Amino acid sequence: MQRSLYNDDFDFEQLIKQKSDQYKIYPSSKVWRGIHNSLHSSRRWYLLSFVLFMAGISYYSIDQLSAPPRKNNSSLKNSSSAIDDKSLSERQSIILPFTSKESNIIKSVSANNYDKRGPAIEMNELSISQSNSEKSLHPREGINDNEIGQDVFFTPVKNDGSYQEEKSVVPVSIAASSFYKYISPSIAESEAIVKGIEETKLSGSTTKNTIDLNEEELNDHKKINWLQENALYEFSKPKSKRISYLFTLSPTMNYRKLTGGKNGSITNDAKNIPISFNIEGDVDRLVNHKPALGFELGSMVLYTVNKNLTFKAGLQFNYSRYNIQAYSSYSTDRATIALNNFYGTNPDSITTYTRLRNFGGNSVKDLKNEYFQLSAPIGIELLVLGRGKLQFSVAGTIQPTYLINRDNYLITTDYKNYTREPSLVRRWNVNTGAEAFVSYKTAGLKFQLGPQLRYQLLSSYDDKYPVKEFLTEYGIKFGISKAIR
Amino acid sequence: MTEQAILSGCLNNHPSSQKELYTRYSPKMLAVCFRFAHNKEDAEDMLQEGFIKVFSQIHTFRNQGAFEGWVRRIVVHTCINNLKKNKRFNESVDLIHANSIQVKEESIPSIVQAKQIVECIRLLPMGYRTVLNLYAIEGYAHKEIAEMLDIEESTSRSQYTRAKQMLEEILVKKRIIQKPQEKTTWFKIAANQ
Repeated sequence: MQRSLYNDDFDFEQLIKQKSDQYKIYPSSKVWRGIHNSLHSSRRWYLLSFVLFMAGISYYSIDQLSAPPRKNNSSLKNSSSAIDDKSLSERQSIILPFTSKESNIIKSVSANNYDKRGPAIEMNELSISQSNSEKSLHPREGINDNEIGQDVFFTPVKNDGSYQEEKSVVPVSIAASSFYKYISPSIAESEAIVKGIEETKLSGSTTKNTIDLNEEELNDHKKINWLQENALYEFSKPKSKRISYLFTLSPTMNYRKLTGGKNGSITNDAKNIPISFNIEGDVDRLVNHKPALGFELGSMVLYTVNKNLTFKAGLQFNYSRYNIQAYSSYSTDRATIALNNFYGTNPDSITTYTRLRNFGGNSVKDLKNEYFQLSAPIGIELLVLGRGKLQFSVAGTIQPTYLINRDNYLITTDYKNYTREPSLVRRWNVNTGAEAFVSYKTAGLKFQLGPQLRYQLLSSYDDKYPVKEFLTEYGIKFGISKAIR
Repeated sequence: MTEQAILSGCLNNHPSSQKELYTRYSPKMLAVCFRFAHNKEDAEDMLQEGFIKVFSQIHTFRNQGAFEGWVRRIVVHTCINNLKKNKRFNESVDLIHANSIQVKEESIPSIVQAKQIVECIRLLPMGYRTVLNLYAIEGYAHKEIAEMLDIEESTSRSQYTRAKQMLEEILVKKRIIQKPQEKTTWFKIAANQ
C-alpha cells in the first residue's frame, strides 16, 4: 500500500533492488571462527576442564612422588627470650660428633661471615638424621652452609635397632669471640651440652649472655651419662604411614549392551534391506556396533585401616567410546523416537530429521559415540596374598559419574535411523569398578598392575527412552602410589 | 546437501551443517550488512552477530516462506539494532545532508555493475541510506521503518524521497544512468546491462 504512492519510481527501485541483490561479498574466515566459538564454547570448556584436571593430577603426582622422604621429626619449640644484641653479633657454632670419646675443642676457626639473627633464641630443629653412625664420626659432615652461625649438635638415638645421629641446630649466644669451636665430646657429653643449652634458652634469661663451657661441662657429663645409658633407648619407633596417594592410568576397551526388544538379528547384507518394513527384535542384535579404545585416569587417596583392608576415594576421568556402523542417505528421513508412557496417557514422541540410517543407504558411515565422564570412586581394597614387597590384592569401587557431553547418537525406536537428542541422554549415572592387581614396593613407592572391569549400572539414556544402553569397560590398570602420612 | 538436511543438522547443533548454511548465505548477507555499515569490519561484526542469532533461533523457523528471507530479516534487524546504538545515526536520520555530497563526474561505463550501485548507495548519508535500504531494497513499508528506527512515518517518507533524489544525482554524476529528464532512456540503458 505504501509503495503505491511511488509507482512512478518503480523502475528505479527495481533497478536498485535488482543490482543490490546481485551483490555478494565473501567474509573473512574470522567471522566464521567467531560464530563457531560462540556456538560451541562448551567444547572448549570440556577441553579446558580436562587439561586443568590432568595438570592438577600431574602436579600433585610429581610433587608427591619426587619429593624426598620426610624425616621423623620431633621438633621442639620454646618461648623465645630476648638476648643482648651485642652478644648476638658474635656467635659460635659447636659441632659435636656423637661417637667421639674426646671432649676437647679440636679446632677453632675465624667466622666473620656468618649471619646475624634476631634477638630471639629458638630451638629450630631436632631431627633424626638418616645417615649411619659411621658418617657421624666426621664432625663437620651434615652441616649446611645456612647453619653457619648457629649451633649444630649431633646426638645418637636408637631407631629401628640401629644407631642414628640426631642433629640439633640451635642459635646460641656465646660470649667470647668470633670463633667457631669444634668440640668432640663423648655421646654423653654431647647430649649434656644440648640439654644445657636448651635449659639456658628455656630459662628466658636475658642477663646471662655467655655460656661458660668449662663450668657446664661437669654438669653436662652427668646428664649425658644418664642419657647414654637410659634415655636414648626409650625413643619410640615411628608409626607406619596410613595415608597414601595413588595415581592410575588405564587403557580400556569399551563395549555396550542395548536392551529393549525381543528376538531378531541383523543380517550381514543389511544395506539392501528395504526400510519400509517393520523391524522387531532384540535391538542389540539389530545394530552393528564395535568396541573402541578409551582410557581412564584417576587419582585417589588410600587409607590403610589394617594390614588387609584399605579404603580409597578420589577423582577419575573416563573417556569411553564405541563405533556404530550406519548408512548415510541422500534424502532426509523423519526420525521418530517414541517415548515411554508412565501415566497411562497417550505416549509422547520426539521427531527430528536425519540422513543416517541403520539399514540401507547410499554409503556406509561409521558413527562415533564418545563419552567424557568425571567420576568420584569410593571403595575398598583387600590384600589377598603377600606380606613383603610383592602383594596381590583385589579392589572394588562404586563411582557416581557425571557425563560431560550428551551429543551422542541414539537409534530411533523403530530401529531405522540414528539421530542426536541430548535431552534423552542421562547426565548423572553410577558405575561400579572391580580390579585385581599385583603390587610391588620399592624405594618408598608402590607400583601396581592388573586387570579391571567397569560397568555402568544405569542406562545411558533417560527412562523415557525405551532403549537402554549399558556400557562396559575392560582394561589394564597401572598405578603408582606413595605413602604421604 | 539439501536445505532441509542443513536445517535438520542445524537444529541438532551440528557444526558441519552450520558451516554449510553459513557458506551458503553469508556472501549475500554480508552485502546486506555492508549497505548499512560504515565499513567492512563493522559489516562483518553485524554478520557475525546476525548468524549467531540465526543459529540460536533456528528452532523458531516454521517453514513458512523462504528460509533465506527469514535469515535476511534477522540480519537486517541486527544491522538496525547496531546502528541505533550509535548516537550519530539517530541524529542523522532527521537531518538533511543533500548538499554535502561531492561526487566526481565520470564517463558512462559500458556495464552497470552491482558493486557500482552499492557503492553509490553507500555514498548517501547514513539516515538516507538506511531508509533507502529498508524501503527500496528490503521491501519494508514506511510504517515498519518508522517503528524500526523510532521516527515518524512522514519522516521516513521524506527521507526516502530525498535519498532517492540524491542517489539519482550520484548515479548521473557517475555516469551510471542518464539525467532524470531522460528517465525513459536511462532505465533502458541500465536494464540492458
